[in-house]
Amino acid sequence: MDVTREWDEAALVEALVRGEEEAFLWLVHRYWPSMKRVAGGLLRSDNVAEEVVQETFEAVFKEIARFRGESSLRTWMFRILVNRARRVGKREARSIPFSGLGRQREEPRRDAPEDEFTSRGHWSSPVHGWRMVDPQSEAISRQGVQLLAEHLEDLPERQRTIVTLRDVEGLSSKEVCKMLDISEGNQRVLLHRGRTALRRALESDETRLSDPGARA
Amino acid sequence: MTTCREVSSLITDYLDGKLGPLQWLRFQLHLLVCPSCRQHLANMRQLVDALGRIPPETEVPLRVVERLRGLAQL
Repeated sequence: MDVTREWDEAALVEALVRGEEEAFLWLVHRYWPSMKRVAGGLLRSDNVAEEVVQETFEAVFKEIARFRGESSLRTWMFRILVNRARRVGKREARSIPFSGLGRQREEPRRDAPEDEFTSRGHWSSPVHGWRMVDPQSEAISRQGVQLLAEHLEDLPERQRTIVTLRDVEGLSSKEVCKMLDISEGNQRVLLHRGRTALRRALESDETRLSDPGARA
Repeated sequence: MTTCREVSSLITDYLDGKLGPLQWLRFQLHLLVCPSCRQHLANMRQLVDALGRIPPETEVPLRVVERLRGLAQL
């Protein structure tokens, strides 16, 4: 399934309303990973999260004729997912409001390790560009993107959810706050922590990959 | 005076356009004089861009695909 194909949203919705299998399969393959990540941040059980994502797609297919385009199709689907995950979580008493979820497993509040900055607040060592950046496009290479995808799975749940919705899927801050019923401030703190953790993970990768002694 | 630590802690707010006018000005003034913070900002922009390019995996469980395919045919 070629999920790199770009659908015009109106054309995609029409194809879904007509029941075209290719459109259904494209939608599932395209959004399953992100929806699974988001559901995993709202529910404690991986199996339950997978069921909720499946039920969300079922609901999308059944209700697609009622989609009015007041938001993007993607936002509409994620809203269905979040609402469904919350209902399931309450019913099974396995989830708590997003604002409280995962508190015990969150990283320490401090954003920077002690040695990243001096006592006067300057960088301890100069900041360099990443070697993983392609010099022509000035973008992180495919290898770097793959590493980031792996590190994303290791983030604490709330950070993973926010980074997935904001940066992987490109939803706006307002959309995400409304969907998850959290404040802008709370959302930005989680986003900052998630991005910081990913930055440090990538920097560790660069150190490891460039140090022959580290390769084993 | 704005420090590098402060700039680093404000970077997400800056990229979201959420700094107040005075904070924004201090942030920009610091960038003018600090090559490390300029690079840090560039690195974070590249990170966010790269996250947007994470390709969807293709490993949707087969039973899910079959079940949803069945729905599509109704």
